[in-house]
Amino acid sequence: MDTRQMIAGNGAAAWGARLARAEIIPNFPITPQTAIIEEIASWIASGEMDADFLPMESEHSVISALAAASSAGTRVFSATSSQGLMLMTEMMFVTSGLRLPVILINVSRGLSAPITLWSDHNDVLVQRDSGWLQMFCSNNQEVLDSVVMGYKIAENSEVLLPMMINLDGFTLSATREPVEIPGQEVIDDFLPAYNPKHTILDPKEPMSMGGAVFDEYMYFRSQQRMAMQNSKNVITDVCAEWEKMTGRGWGGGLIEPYCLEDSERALMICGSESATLKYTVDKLRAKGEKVGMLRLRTMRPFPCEEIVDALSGVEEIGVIDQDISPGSGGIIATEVKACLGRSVTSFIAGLGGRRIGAEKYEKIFGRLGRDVEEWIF
Amino acid sequence: MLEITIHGRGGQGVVVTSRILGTAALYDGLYAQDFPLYGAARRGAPVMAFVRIDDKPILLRGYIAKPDILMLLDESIIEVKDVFSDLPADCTIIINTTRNTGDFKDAHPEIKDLRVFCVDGTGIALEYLKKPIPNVVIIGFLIGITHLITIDAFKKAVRDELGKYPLDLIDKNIEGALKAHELVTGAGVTTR
Repeated sequence: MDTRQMIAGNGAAAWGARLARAEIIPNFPITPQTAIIEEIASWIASGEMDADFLPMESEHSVISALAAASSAGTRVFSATSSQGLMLMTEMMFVTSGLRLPVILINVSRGLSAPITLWSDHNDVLVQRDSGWLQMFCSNNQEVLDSVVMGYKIAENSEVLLPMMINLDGFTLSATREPVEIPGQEVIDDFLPAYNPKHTILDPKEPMSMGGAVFDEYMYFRSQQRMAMQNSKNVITDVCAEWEKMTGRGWGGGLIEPYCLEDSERALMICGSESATLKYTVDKLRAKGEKVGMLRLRTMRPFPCEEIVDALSGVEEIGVIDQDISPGSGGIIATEVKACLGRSVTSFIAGLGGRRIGAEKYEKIFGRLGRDVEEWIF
Repeated sequence: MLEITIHGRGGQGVVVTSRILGTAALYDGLYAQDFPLYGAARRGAPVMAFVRIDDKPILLRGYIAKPDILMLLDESIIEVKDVFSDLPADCTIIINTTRNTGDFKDAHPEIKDLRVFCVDGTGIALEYLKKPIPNVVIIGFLIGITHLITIDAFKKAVRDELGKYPLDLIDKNIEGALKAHELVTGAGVTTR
């Protein structure tokens, strides 16, 4: 039976792990993620969740334990944020290279220095090339749904890649809103137990993983690339199945177009800020302005063909980046330009959680059609 | 949509206030969003929390700059933060103070044209719970003025959000809130 409760993004992430029956939870606290791990700890203590809680000595150990437990054939889960994600970097590549379907939540937070606790996408995008699937959520319901769907996608034999699911610090992590919690029996039907064929811990059939190679290395990388390509169809299929079951399809999985059919101008964005942008689109449309939005849901795989299709009739395109690659520009804008092969206006906004708000989005819609980078303070 | 900003100090129940309002709105069949705003939070430090309530799903995110309702659980906040600047003309302000509205407006002419309601929430809390934690009491007062949530949903939400405390303390909070509720009759807050 479904229940509807006021739940923060952190709670929604924990619910996703609980419903997916994650078995091993290595963890290390960091704001604004800690509430996820605390919630899971309380459920394990009360017997509501059957999992092993492993407090580790650092995030590097957390990701090492995630990889090790996953390679032993268990379903694993953890969460981190910002500096914690940076400390995981070395093992991020190991985890994807070993083709382990780990689910890791990142609660996005600006990178030091100076210290901020607020949302910013540079932490996620540092890991862009790590071979992990990367998904951005727009609200707390999507966080819960994405964790459950995430296991089904990552564990698919055509994919077998780890997935990082991003929820924005504070804007989602500490913000409560109504969330439907699906019944356990519904999720058990949707998501079968993890039953790996490629990594098995069995003393009678010992296997070595990630050993030294020479010329073969390039084949492994090529297979990772193919798995990433395969994941596009798997994500779409899993989302379609989820939509049939829950009524929530999240735009089909890779992108979420909003009012694009007859749009003359559109903004691309990812994460929770898309909600305020939708509000702005509704407001401007009520005044007769033909504006729309395209939310990027997966940064990896990067849904280039889907973006080209969705924006084909749009004259002026802008990209909002809550990140910056100093010396180059907005990271998403750079990728979108390469994908579209046409000019877009790049807006850098909301770094370190700096408020954007509907009034600024309105202003941004009036500043498209220029091939420049503009900072919105 | 109705937007509420709550100011107070760590330990006064600012965040719990926002949660009670959000949960009660959900029980009333409405949509809600509640969230705190703090950095390194500690007892006594200024804390803010926000609530949005609507009869349809809420898209707007981020802190509320133009609240329909401004609640001050601690009037000393006025000395450390500029809480009255840039408020909309139809903003309703609820202040936990021993002063009456006339005296309060005399001391703060910048809000003389706004609807200001004063309540001695701490006094009522001391009487009922023997503790200077005024948040639930002040929500009772707020409901008396605005009717934004039902008493039934409010009681249920208080029991949820204070669930970790003894039953007796929860009941006394509700009694204090109903006392504050009796102090006012509907003054009608418009939504935007």
